[in-house]
Amino acid sequence: VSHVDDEQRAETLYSLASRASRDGLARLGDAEVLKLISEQRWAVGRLASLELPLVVRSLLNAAILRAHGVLHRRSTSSAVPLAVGLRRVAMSTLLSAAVFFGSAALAMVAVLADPWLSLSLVPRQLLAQIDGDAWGSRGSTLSNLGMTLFYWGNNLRASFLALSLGVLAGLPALLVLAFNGMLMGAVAGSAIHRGVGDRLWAWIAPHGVPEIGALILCGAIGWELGLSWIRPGSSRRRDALATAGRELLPVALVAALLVIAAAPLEGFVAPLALPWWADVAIPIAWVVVLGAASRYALWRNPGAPA
Amino acid sequence: VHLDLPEHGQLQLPLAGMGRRGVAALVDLALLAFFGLFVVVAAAVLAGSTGMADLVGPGAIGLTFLLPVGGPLLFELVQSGQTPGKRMLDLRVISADGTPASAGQLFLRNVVRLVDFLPFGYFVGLVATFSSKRTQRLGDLVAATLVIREDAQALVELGLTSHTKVSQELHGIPEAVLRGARLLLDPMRDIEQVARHQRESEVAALVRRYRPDLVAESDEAIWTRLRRALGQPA
Repeated sequence: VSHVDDEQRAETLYSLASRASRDGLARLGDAEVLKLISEQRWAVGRLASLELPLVVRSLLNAAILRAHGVLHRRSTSSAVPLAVGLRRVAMSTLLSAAVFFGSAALAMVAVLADPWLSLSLVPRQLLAQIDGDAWGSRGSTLSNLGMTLFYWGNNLRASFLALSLGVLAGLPALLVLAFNGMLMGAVAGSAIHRGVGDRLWAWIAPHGVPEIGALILCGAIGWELGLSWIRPGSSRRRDALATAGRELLPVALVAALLVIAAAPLEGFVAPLALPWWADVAIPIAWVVVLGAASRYALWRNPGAPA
Repeated sequence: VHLDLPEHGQLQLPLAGMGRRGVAALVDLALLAFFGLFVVVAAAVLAGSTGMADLVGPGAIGLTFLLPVGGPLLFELVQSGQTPGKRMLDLRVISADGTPASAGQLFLRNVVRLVDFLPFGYFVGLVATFSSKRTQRLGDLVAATLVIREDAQALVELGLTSHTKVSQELHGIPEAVLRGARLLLDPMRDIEQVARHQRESEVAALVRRYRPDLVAESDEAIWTRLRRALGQPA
C-alpha cells in the first residue's frame, strides 16, 4: 500500500468523522456508517506501522481521535440513574442536615440567652430588616423580579460553593453548612427575641424547604466527593473521585433545580401576608413532594448498580 | 497521556500545557470581567433612566454572581467544549475517554471552578494541575475531563511521538469475538471436545469476517495467531 493511499484514506476518514461529529451519526447513510467503522479499524491498525511518514501519522491521529469521539460517544441513556446518587448520599445528607440544624439551634439558643450576640453574628442589614415595620414588603412586581434574579445568583453560588469546597477534603463543605446554619439560627433567635418570630416563619415557609434542602444536599455531595478520594477503596484516587462525580451529578442537578425553584418563591411569595395555615401547609407540601419523588426514583431503580 | 481504543490500540492525546491553559483562562476572565462591568454600568444607566432600579439593581448583582460558573459553562455547552479563550488557543475540553464531554461533565467541571479559583487567581487549580500527570484541575478530576490541543503543531508533535501500540494480530477484531476466544482458551473451563471444536470454527469464521486479510487462513492458523496475541500457550 502506498503512502498516497494511506493519506487519502486518512483524509476520507477525517472528513467523514468530522461530518458525523457536526451533523450527528444518524445523518450518515448506512454505507457511510459502515465505512466509518471499517476505516477506523483500518486506521488504528495502520498507525501501528512505524514506516509511515510524519504527515500521514499526524493525519491518522487526528482522524482516529475524531472518529473515536463519534463512534463511542456515550448516549444520555448511559447516565447514572438518580437512585444511585441518592443511595450514596443518604447518610451524608443526614450528617449535613445535623450540622446545619445543629449549628442553627446552637446559635439560636446563644442569641436568646445573650441578645447582644446578635450584633456580632447577624449582618446589620438583616437586623434592620427584622426591626423594620414592613418586613419583606417590597411594593412592586419589578422589585420582586429583581430580587428573584438576585436570589438565583446568590443561592446558586452558595450551594455550589458548599458542593465544590467538599472536594478539598469533605470538611469545608460542612463548615459552609455550619456557617449558614449559624446565621439562620442567629436571625431566628433575634426575631424571636424581638417578638417577630411569626413573621420570620412566614418569610421562610414558602421557600425554606427547597432552598435549605438544596444547601444540605450540596453539602452532602461535597462531603461524599471529599471522602471518595480520601477512602478510594481498591480504585485509584483519581478514578474514585471521577466515579463519585459521575454518580452524584444527577443529585447536584436536582439541588440546582431546587435553588432555581426557590428563588421566585422567595422573590414573589415570601413577602405576601399568607394565612397561617398556608405557612404550615406549603413546607409540608414541599416535604411530601420531595419525599415522594425520592421514593419514586428509588423504586424505579431498586438496587441500581453503583 | 494514552487513550485506550476499543479497536485494540492506544492513541496519544495532545494535552494542553499550563501556559496555553493559563492564557486561555486569562482571556476568558478578561471577557467575563468586561461583561460583568458592562452589565453593572448598563444596569446603573437603565435604573436611572427608566425608574426600574428595583429590577435591574439586584438582577445585575445576581447575574454577576452567576458569571464565573455560568459564563464558561454556557460557552462550553454551545461550542462543544470551547470558551472564547480556548477557541483562540485551539484548546477543547473532552471526556477522559476521548469522546466529546457531556453536558453533565461540563456542568460539574464549571461548578468546581469555584474552588479551583480559591483563595485567588486559580491557586487551588494551579496546584492540582501541577500535581496531575494529565494537567487536570480539580474540576477536570471530578468531571473526568481533559483539555487537549487542536492546533496543527500539536498534530505534528503527535505524528512525531506516537503510534498506536495495537497488536497486528488483533486489530479490527471486535472485543466480543476476542472474549469468546479467551473463554475457549481458559484452561479452567471444561468444554466437551466436539462443542469446543465447533465453537473454535465459529470464532475463526468471525475473525475472517472482520479481517479480510485472513480469509485464506485455516482455522488452526487463526487460532495460532489468537493464542499468540492473547498470551496463551500453543
